Amino acid sequence: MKRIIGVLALAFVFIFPCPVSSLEPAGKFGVYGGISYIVPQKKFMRSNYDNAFSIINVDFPPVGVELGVLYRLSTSVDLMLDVGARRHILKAKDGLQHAGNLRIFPAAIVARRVWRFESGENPYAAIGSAVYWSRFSTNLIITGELDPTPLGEYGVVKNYFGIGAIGEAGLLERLSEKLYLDLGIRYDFTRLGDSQDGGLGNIGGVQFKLKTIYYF
Amino acid sequence: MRRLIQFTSILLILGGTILNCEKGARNLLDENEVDIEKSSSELPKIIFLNQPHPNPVSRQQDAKISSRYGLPQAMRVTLTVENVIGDVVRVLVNQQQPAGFHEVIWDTKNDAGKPVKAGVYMVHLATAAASQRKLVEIRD
Repeated sequence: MKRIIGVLALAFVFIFPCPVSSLEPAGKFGVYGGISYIVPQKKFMRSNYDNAFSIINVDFPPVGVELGVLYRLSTSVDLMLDVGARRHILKAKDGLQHAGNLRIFPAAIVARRVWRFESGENPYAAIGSAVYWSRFSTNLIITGELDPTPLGEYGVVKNYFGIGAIGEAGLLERLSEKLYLDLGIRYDFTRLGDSQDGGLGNIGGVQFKLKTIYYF
Repeated sequence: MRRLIQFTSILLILGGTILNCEKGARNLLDENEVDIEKSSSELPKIIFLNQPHPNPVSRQQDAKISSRYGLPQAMRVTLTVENVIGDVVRVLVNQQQPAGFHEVIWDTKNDAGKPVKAGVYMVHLATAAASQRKLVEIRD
């Protein structure tokens, strides 16, 4: 019963026509880029990892980056394809000799319903699904068969792949006919294998997003 | 006299080289690394977890990883294997243990008895007083 209500609610949100749409963007297509701050859902991940700048190893505020394209299916429904990158650093604590980097690259298809009002501030709700590529890298210490005495070091990289679901809500602020500011909060549930079997389980969480959209 | 000085100089250079080599080898040892064989006659002064061995290990039927640790006094100990996120894959020890040196063998299986997939794992020693982790890799 709950599932049926959920499906009906989603159908209402995405199919029901928009009541007011006098302030539509100029074009059918849009490109966007932005940044996000990530709060992992798992307590383990929050306590074992620090957020870090997504792409390169520099001292910079811990943010993910996101780029994408958008197509307006109707006055109130957008279809979005976005790719992102975020990075977490394994904390070098508790006797860990080497920190590790966990990089996460999601590619998502998102359907978004926008309620367009005369004020120029347009709330929206969105759902989507994503595929994820995650890459963990670190250095390890070599030990022999019989003795724990370290013999040397080596680098190791492990890739994980998985799928996820996305829910998002936010506000579109109209800056001009072609330019919009998008402030949103996204929850993503990401499954990268069974954690009992060596996978990472759910590495999703809450993301606070700020991006600009240009319509053409 | 000149030859004596030359001979002494050569000895000093050789001695320095040998000492440097020894120091270099010791640098490979982790600060917390404790030689369990040499220390087995006395109680450890601190809580420690040695580097698991062998590392890396190939994933096969009889793959085993040894983890040695020491306790200066009797205490409750939890020794687990975690994935890189920190999820517990296998509980190796969860009990009160006496002071001394201990060794636990991980058969590279999870709590369900299935061999874990290739990847990086953390051996995590947790007591009320300390928490230490060491990384190990299991290869295909």
